[in-house]
Amino acid sequence: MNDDTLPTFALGDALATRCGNTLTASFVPGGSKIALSAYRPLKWSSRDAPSDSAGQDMVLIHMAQESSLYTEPLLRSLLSETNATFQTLQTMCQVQHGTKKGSEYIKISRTYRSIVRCCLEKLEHAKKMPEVQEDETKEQQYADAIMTFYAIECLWYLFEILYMQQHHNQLIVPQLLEWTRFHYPHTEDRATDLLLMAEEASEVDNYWDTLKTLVMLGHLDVTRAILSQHRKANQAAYQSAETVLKTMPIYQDGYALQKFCSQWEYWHNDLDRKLVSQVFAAEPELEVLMQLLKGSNEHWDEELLKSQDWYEFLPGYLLYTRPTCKPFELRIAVTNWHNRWSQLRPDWQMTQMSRMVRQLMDHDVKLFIYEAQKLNDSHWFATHLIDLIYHSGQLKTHFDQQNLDLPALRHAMIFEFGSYLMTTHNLWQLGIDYLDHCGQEGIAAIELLLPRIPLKTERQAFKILALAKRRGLVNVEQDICKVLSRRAYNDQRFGSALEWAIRSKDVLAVTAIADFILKHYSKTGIMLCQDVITSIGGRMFLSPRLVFLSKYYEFYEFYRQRDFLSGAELLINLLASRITPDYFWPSLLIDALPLLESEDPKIFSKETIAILQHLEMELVPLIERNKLNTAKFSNQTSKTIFKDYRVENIEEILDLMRLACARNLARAMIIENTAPAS
Amino acid sequence: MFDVEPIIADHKDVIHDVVFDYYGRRMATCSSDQTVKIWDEDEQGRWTVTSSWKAHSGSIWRVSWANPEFGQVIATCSFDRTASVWEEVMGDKVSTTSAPTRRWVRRTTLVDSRTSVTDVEFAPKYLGLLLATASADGIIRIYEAPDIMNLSQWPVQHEIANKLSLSCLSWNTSTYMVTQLLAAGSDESATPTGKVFLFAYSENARKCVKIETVNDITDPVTDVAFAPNAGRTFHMLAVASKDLYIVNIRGVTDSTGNAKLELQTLKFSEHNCPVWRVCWNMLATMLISTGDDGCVRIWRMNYTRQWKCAAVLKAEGSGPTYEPNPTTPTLATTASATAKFYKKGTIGNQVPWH
Repeated sequence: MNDDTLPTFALGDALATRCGNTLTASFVPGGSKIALSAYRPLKWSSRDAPSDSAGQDMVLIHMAQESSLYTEPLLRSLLSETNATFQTLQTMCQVQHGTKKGSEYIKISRTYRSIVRCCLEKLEHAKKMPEVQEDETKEQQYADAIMTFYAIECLWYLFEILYMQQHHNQLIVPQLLEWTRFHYPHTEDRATDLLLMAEEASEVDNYWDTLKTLVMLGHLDVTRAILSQHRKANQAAYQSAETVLKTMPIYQDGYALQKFCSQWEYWHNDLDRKLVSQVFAAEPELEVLMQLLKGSNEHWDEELLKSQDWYEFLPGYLLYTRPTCKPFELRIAVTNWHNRWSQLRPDWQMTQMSRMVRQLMDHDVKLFIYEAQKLNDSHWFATHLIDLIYHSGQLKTHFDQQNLDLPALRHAMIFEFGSYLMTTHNLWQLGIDYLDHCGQEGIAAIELLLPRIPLKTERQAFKILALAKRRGLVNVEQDICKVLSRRAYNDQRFGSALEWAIRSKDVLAVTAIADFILKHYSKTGIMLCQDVITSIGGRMFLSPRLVFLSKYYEFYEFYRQRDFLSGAELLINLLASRITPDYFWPSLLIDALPLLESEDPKIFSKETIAILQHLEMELVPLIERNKLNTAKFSNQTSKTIFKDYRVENIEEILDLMRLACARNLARAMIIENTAPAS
Repeated sequence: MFDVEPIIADHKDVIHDVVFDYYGRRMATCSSDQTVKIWDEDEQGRWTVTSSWKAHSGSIWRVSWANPEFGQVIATCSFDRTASVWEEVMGDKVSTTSAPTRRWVRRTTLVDSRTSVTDVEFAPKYLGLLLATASADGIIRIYEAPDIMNLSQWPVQHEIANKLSLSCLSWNTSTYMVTQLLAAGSDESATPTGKVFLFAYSENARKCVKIETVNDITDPVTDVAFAPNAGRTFHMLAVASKDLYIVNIRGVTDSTGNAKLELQTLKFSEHNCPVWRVCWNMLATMLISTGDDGCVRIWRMNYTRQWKCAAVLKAEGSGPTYEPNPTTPTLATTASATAKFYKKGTIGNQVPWH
């Protein structure tokens, strides 16, 4: 691809223009935005001084976003409905592998189309609402969406007629007529008006124009009905026209082709004869109609000058000239027709839409698919169509010949469409389903994108967690829990922080929060988030620190409920457990003090000795180590373990402890040894 | 088509780096005016400055956001030979009804470098809270915060000296086959040797060592970026040098059972002049390159996995004038009121795969 064909965009940035035109850009995570800003290449070796342009121009950051149609709720529902159909197709192909029928694919194709039609109807309706009419941008949005999806429906329908049918010898003219009628409904609307007006209709200005268009669109029944209401309907010319219209053979399924051809030939010759013998000469307008029916090139050419697009009257023309045209014969007919059209309308510009119709009729599907990706529908059409083509297997040989790797293209399209939705605000839940069908790469993409969805509410977080769990993405679950834990911690919601940390099963995170709670308690005597600690239960074994926190809390509860005996027992266990964090030793031992000093002994002699032992073996060395550390880093107070008032009086506290132990020991021993032998 | 919304950055001089947080909802900018600004996006998609402060006494080269599980933390590096770590904290409540104010406090200043610190980047989170800096004297330093609740301690874990000055670095976020992979580039122009180096942790040496030099790139390098890995079996490194390069890196085990790297360098010379910056999108299906030709090029990988330039963005009035793109689809005529800066054309989701 060379530069000439590359889409180029210009940004009005004065600063960038001033400093050597350089512009830099980066992708914004979580979406499809790009942030652009002026850029000046500076080297570290240059002098660091304000640049020449400093202060002259405004420094801007440009947030560029690919425009998308799907900001409108109506189109979002289109996306979610198509998502469901997409899923149906995927499961259908997984379940009945090898025994699929073409008719089922047509059914899927029709479902897609009916979703689009339904959405178009809603859009048309919404566009007419007064509040939309007043809002110009909104109206434009609707108009754009209608234009795009209208074209999509039209092209999809044509694709279905030409490529999804089973039988190659099927006649396509009636279906093509149906197709043009649907997409040029205005004539039909006018015809209805004429019918309602009955006799007066013939005075209306566009009476004959409407009739001509009706004939060229192949609406023979309606034409007949309108003509029969004409004031002069009883005259001979009208009567003959009526006969011609009535007797025109229409091919129906099951009819013998040979028989039909001879009938049609007979009818055609008969009409020709009538025209030659001037049967309609009295009514020139009626004669033109009959000429059109005959397929007279001269008359058709004249009418073609008024038509809107090259393909509008092609099916009608085929009806009167080659009613038995088969799909494979269409290409030649189209080429001829198109040449004729170009000669008649030399300065007419092909729109993308008319080009794509031509590509379909020319059997140039590869080019058609290429063009389909240029629509502004964020590849909705191309993705779903390619997926359907891939599953139905109809065009496999075509793509093989064209050297197009269809499975790879399908994969790329679904992957891209899925990731587009996943990175679009409010559409991510639809995107994930597409990525689910992209194998390993899809799962990897979900793993990258899912944790980046902003966690606005807890409810949304639970939804994302459930989706991650269903796919076995343990890391994603953990990441989200850790982020929520951290966020709660920063917001000083410590209970929630602990809860999320436990959910994340991350030892470091759990330990960090448990540490925080314990330190906070030893500093202030306030136990945070008691409800969460009570409910930890078996999950405490995630981290030794959490075990300690739970157990200590249990002790704290006994103490508060004045169940001193149980409390004392637990305290001794905690002391012996070797999971007490260094910073908590003083707290723990001081907690023992009142129990020891109690008049009526709560702690037995053996336990008292144990406490004394811990005091001498754990706390004293700790204090010594700590003194050393403080001496070594006298400026770094963070190394100190005791941060509160107890620091200064630590020697005193130690003495108190020793004394208390001794007193309790004495009391306990007296009681234990004087107790009556059982 | 693009809808564009200009934001007045209010920096006094050129911006050197615009970096987004993990979710793309917060933005940090740094500039030659020695300030850092933090921006937040509201529900309507509007960006507003929520903090702005003078962070260094020299031009600030780069900003990096830490993973949100470590809180709201950024690192900056500057011409003033330092790198700093900043954390957003809750301030005191002004009144009981108002929301608590938030402010950014400096947690540490890393002063080990004797020259300009040219790049700083937090490591992928599986390694913990790690930070790598590159400096003009050619040293890569890896710092670690051992206590994630207390970010004032950042001891140096590794120090890797290189002969050439360094201008940029990038961590590989994927752990496929190779772990702790780090790339750095040099903007040294005097020697004709390889300018991109790969480092990894060596179990034997128990430290980070240089394991590979990309010899195909001998011109000065100004930016490197590892691509996020969505299920690929190899790693991609984008390099901004005299041209744009994509280095494909495969971890392989040779016959003797030793793990080593296999490199394949792809060159893209469309810019036709030096490339300054590179940036990947989230799934590494697109790449942005900034060139001295005034063009920002958007590259995308097509379905046959080839990289193709898909669109060009320019500052107005640069380079040769051009006509509106003739292949503009007539159906795609969306024109938003904010899009007046752009000539009509197609981009991104309208660029075909083949």
